[in-house]
Amino acid sequence: MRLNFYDLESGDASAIRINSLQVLGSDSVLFDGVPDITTVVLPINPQADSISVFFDTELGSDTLIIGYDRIARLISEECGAEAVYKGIYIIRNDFDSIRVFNSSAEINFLEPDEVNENIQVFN
Amino acid sequence: MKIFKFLISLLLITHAALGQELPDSLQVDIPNHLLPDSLKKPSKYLPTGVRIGMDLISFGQGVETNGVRAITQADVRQWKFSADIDFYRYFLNIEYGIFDRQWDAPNSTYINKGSFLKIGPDVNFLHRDPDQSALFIGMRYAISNYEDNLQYNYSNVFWSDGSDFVENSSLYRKWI
Repeated sequence: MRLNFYDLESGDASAIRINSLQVLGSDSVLFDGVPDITTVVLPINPQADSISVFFDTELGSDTLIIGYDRIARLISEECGAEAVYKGIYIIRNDFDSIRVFNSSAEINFLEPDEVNENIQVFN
Repeated sequence: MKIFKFLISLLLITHAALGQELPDSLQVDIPNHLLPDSLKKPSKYLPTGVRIGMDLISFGQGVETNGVRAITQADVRQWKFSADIDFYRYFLNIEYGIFDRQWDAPNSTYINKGSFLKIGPDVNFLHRDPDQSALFIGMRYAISNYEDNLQYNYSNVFWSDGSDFVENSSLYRKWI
């Protein structure tokens, strides 16, 4: 699930310095004092229907809780089935403005390493 | 008027005297309800038979994919049945089908099952055809329910490895 940062007034991509980024339920720290970035990829929890993310940025501390549906889907007789994450929605956020750009976190089979943009944050 | 009476009398006398059959043009259709019970014709809406069928193509596909298991095991069922009954030129149709499949992969098991029921009339526009050909139009009201679930193991760098169970349960649709 990809989240991109934008400037609230111009709507252009806007880099932000993230001091730390933590996800509830995990001891791992996704980012720790990285240079200014415009995008982060958040880890979907396969065992839960939401993730809680804590941002410590140059603009302050923000909490973001994102919900999603986990569903089973049959691809074909030969390929079998897969679990997909759809219906992404915002449960809580502290940012100036946020919107779900693409509510499906499906993988693009033509570019499996590419993660689609799902959420846009405006500061 | 006199000529008319004369003709009628002449016809009756001729018929009585010669005992001949009346030509078709002079035969009279007596309404069924005026006839004695012994001479009453059966209602044309009385069903003449029931037709029962099975979709051999879907069944054959199941056998082709799964062999004898398509008959003996419940997890690979793929059957469709139909039946209809006639009421003169009208038919009442009922169709029923079930689907129950399981896909096994190295790290997952996916189960998909459901059933449908369709009911509705057909009208045959060639019901007088001596060759029993049919040209018909019909309508169906259908309901179906189905469910699927996926049990799978995953590898995740951030959340570590694990297993999960996701399902779409008790899905229900109806259509015409």
